[in-house]
Amino acid sequence: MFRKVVVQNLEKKIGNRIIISDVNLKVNSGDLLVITGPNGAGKTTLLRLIAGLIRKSNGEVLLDDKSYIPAISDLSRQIGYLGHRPMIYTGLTAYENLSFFGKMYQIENKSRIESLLSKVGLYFYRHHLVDTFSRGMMQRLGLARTLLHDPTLILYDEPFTGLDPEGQGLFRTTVRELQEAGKIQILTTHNPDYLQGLLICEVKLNLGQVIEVIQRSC
Amino acid sequence: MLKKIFWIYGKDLREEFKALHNLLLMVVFALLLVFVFSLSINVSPTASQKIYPVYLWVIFLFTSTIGLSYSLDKERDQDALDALLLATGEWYSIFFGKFLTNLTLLCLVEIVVVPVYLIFLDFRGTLNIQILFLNLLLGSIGLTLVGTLLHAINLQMNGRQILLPILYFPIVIPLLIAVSQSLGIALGNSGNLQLWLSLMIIYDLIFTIIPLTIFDFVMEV
Repeated sequence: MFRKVVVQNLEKKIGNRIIISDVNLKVNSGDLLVITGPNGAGKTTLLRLIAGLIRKSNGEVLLDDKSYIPAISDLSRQIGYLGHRPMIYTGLTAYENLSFFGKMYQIENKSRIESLLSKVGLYFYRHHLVDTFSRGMMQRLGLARTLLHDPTLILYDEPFTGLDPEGQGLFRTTVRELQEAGKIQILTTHNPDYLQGLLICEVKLNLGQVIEVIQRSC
Repeated sequence: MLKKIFWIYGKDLREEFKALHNLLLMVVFALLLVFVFSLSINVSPTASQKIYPVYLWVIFLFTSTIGLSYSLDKERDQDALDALLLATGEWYSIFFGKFLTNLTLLCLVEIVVVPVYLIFLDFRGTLNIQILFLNLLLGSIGLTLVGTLLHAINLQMNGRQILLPILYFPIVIPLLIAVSQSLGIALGNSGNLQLWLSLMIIYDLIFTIIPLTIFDFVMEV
């Protein structure tokens, strides 16, 4: 378990095009860093770089001062990632999805799966095919999948997509609980108003660069 | 790593057998090709003996592209591949899990198609079952290894289905020659069985090693 994430001079180029340029961030245990910015600002790319899902061109992502190289690292198993899409299998039931990912994380724990399904309001639908779920239900299941292995670093990419007001409330409550538990959380959104009532630090991104640090509490 | 491979394989089969979309599509497509070939081949018995093996493997080649597209595309469907990568921490178990799924589907298609093919084309020679089994197994392994790797590359290039056959067909030509020749021997043609079997084994070994060396690079663009 690590206690801080440091992003140093992070850069991502595709061909000659710079997608992320010289980004520096530091997020400590219990912090919620919110990355805002318009479409195409590079929010998703930055999050995927931090998760190690894409290769960086330059710079470092340090987890407790250790360079994070995802392909040869068990550190990736301490990361929870909820993307635009919920990253689940629509051909399986909600329970089967969590059971499969539980196996991959070697935490085959029926009660953990069931309590997470209850937490996100899907216990009743646990044996239903995900294919029959609405967008919001899939996103709830995605949240349960993200938290299944009790990750240290949790990354959310536009997590409010498809969530109804009840789901948004559930999400805020979950984020608050995770803050209290000392988890490191990084979230991208167009609209930080969704996070009202939460202690956040916010950085604004545009054209791949941090243009403003709005609240310097991190 | 082995456990992870089998969990991914198990998950894929569970998904597949719930809907049967992919398997049914592959079987129907392969049977249609058998039907088309049986109508179009009109040659002397001697010539047909040489053509049968080639056509059968062409059917499997075309059919395998359908299965390959499906198995990795569904990982992209809700971006589940990213979650799977974070959970496994490496690509090899994903690659070999997918390989096993694709191989199983192709073998199931072969179990249905081979007898139908022999009946439809009115095959009357002697069939060496052992050689046929070896031929189907080694040929399917080779096709699936190459196909799974190329499809993964294709996905990263955002080329989707269009590029797959263009990359896939030329690379499997040496394998197609070997499988067609050895299948011909199983159907009673003369030839050097050892040579063709060795070639298939070498081909399979090469395409087992290549993903181990390049798959990380391929997937982390």
